[in-house]
Amino acid sequence: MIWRIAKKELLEKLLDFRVITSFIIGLVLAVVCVIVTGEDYRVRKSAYDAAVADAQKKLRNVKVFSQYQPEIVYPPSPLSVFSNGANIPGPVVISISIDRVPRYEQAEVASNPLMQIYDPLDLELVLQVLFSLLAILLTYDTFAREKEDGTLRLIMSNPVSRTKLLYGKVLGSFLILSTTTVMLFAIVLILMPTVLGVTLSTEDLFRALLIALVTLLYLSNFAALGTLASLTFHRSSTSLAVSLFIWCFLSILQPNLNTYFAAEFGSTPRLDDIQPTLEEEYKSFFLKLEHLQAQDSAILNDTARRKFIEAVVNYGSAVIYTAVADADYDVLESLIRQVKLYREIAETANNEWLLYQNLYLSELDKQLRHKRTLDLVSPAALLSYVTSIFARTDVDNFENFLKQAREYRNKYIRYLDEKGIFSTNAQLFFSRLTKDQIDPAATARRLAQYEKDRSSVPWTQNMEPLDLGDAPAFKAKDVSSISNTVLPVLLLIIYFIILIEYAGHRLQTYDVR
Amino acid sequence: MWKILIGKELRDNLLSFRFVVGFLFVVTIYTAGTVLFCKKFDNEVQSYQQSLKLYSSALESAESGLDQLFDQVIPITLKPHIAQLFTFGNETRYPRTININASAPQTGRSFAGMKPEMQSNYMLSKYWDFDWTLFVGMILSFLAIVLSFDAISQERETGTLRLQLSTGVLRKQILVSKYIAILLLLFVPIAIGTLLSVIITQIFSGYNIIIMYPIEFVFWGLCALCYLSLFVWLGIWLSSLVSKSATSLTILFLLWIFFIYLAPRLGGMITERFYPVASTEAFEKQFLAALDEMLTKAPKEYYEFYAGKESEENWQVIERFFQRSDQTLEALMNARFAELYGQAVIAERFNLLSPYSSFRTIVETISNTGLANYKQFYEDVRRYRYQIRDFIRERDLADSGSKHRLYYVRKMRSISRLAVDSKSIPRFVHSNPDFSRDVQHALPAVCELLILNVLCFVFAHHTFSRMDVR
Repeated sequence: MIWRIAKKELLEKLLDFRVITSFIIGLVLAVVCVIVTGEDYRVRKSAYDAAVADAQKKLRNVKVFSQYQPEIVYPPSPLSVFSNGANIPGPVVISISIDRVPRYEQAEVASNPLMQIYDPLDLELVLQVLFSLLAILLTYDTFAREKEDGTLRLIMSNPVSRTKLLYGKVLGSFLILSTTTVMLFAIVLILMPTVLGVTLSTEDLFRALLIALVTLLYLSNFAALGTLASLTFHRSSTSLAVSLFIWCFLSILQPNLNTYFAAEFGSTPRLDDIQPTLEEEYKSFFLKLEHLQAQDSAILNDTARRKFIEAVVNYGSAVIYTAVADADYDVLESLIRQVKLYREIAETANNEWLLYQNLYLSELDKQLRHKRTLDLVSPAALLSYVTSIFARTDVDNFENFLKQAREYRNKYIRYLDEKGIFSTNAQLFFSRLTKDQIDPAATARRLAQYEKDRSSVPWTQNMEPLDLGDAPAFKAKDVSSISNTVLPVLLLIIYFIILIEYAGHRLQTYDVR
Repeated sequence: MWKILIGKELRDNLLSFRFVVGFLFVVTIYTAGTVLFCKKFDNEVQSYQQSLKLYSSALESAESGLDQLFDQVIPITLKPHIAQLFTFGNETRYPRTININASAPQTGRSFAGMKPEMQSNYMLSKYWDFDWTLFVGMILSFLAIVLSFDAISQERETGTLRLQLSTGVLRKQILVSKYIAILLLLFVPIAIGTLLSVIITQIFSGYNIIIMYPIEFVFWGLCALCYLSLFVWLGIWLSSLVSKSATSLTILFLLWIFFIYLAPRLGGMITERFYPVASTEAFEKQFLAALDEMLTKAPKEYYEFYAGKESEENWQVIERFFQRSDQTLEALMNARFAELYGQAVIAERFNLLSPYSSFRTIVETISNTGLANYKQFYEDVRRYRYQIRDFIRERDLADSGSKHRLYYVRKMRSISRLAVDSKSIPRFVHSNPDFSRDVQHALPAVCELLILNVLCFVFAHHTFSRMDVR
């Protein structure tokens, strides 16, 4: 019986004007999404591939350890067409270095700060707003109109239980919404490989399916809401007005309000204000460095040597350090003494990071948690959150990547330590020449040539790159935060059940005449 | 006749369920939204005070010597003002601070000196600002549709339209009276909401927007009227075009979602895809190449000086070189800004697809929080940099012990080290808005709203005149 009622609803409304129009608008927007966001993904992916290849190439050309600065890149997700999530502009390249714990340097990434106002469109938003409206438009007059038409009496005069009738009608609307949603997903999944050349793995397809399922759960909530409204108000126009205002609040205002509350009612600490405190952490280290340099001032202040060191300051390249080291053993020894301090800067960096976390990140995190708490009563926000997790574009995914980057840095420092770079083999940081091989005249010639042609790297040209086969490699672990979706999905199910039960209750006492 | 018709419409709708619900909804949004506005405005003011402190301390570096001021990065921040209640505008997301440096024009060159914002929490998604433009642009347009979607169709369905027309009332009179009545109905929640909003803002921030910006308030009212009128005509037109009210409501809502909510996101996406700007790395390469080229054209005296051979005759030549360099570098910065600004303008033009975006653009012009105003701010800041330079040059000339070498290459620089009272340094002044420039910027948006209004009226009139009222 339920199925029969559902089938009637489906056949009656599937080719209804509302469904066709919504579907067409949804289709147009989905195509635009694929073309623009999908294309954006393609561009980011090729930038990511280029950055990875570049990082690997640099590693293959490391001649001295000061050049060994691995770079890791945050991979973009092909499912960003479905849900932009945190919308981290890419590519995010993290440099691993001794003196700084990796973090998201927000300011560096965007090309045009004047365009930061534009939030791109993703499929999830189209479904969240457009199809939820469709759900309301399909169900607001389920009972009220049938009552006005007189057909409700006719149906009820058959031996059909009221509960079954309700379930049948909701199922019918659900089937219509499923059809349109699934068609939209299918079209997007077909367009992506054909038009954009983006291939999706099996796991990606499975995740897209999960996104579709949770979207349908979300839309069912609105179908139930519309049905409930149609049972609460006797005139369909009243039921429509009320459902629409509730829809406007739930799908448009509430998600923004939640973010607004979380962002403006907590205090976002300004990085500018805490920057001096962060820099203070490095102060003692730099004092030690200056002290060392002062001790070596006799060497470092000599005119000829000063010229080389100025070359370092002006050109600022690790390669030039090598030039200095290759030219002059006394300068090299001075630099070696400084390198032995670098182990300490790694510790200093860790302390600075803890401070950064305490003063800044923990505050941002607190705001996020407030938002997540407020979101528990916002179906639209729950949908955004869950789809971003499935699409691998959520904030936690990004933060996990950064955490792995930090762990990798620890491995990197341990590796350098084991190689003796901070102790016995400190020379390898700058130079692989022995004392006898150092030839100041030859290096002076090479330096002059470098001043003319910046692309030439003469002094290390003939050297074999270092064998970094035993160096730790970065492997991004896909730490899925899918367990975080359990509570939101459960809540969406609970909300649906509550709405249906209440609608059932109202239907029991509904006057069908 | 008009009074009777309009009176009838008002009486029919004023106590209707949807109007009451809509009215309460609007007033609640205005109240809650204004409280949120005040909170955000307060945050902005505090943030501005902090930035002012940084600005003052940058200028105070002069107390340690004029040469310190020459080297100092001076941050200049955009000032918040209560007119942002009209609309915070896109400006609230632009970099609030632009850095300048008297010695080097190229400070922060990747972003033309603009300091990208670190104020927002990247973990949170972007959100709208609660200001009057949001209330009118989204909520009231929503209410306008709810009130007008069945203006004609309901009367036809109930049969009262036939009766009205049979009394000799002209179709045109019915049409226009409905329009005026709905506008008057909309006026009620806006007026009360606005009044509440002004009172709340006065209590929280101490500013009264109507007293401070009376002319802008009137213009704001006219714009809001024009914008809402568009939706009313659209609603009336569709309600006479289709036979069932439900159909007209469906179409109207779907159009509303598309044009008001989803379309404003397309402009940015399309612009970034089809009108990209040079990335930060690409721009850096371009800049360094230009710098290199400039150095290759440097006179030989420059290299002699750099190598340590100072002489009196060199200075004049080098001085001229540095002045030209400064101009070249300044031009590069301005070109970069023009590129970034140009892209943002294109995005704004694409967004004209959405009447809500057009409305926002017009209100930004009224409240001075838009792109054009930001450009003015940028130009003011660059001019201020020259003011500071002139001040430094003047003070330096007054010091007979100085070699007067105001060069950006630190090695070759030598200027007065005398302490300067920071209070004598000229302060940055935001210039007054340029009315003609504002009008020019907003003109396409204004034309769009007016044309759409006229079109919708013409279509409504055409359709209703030929409508079968049976």
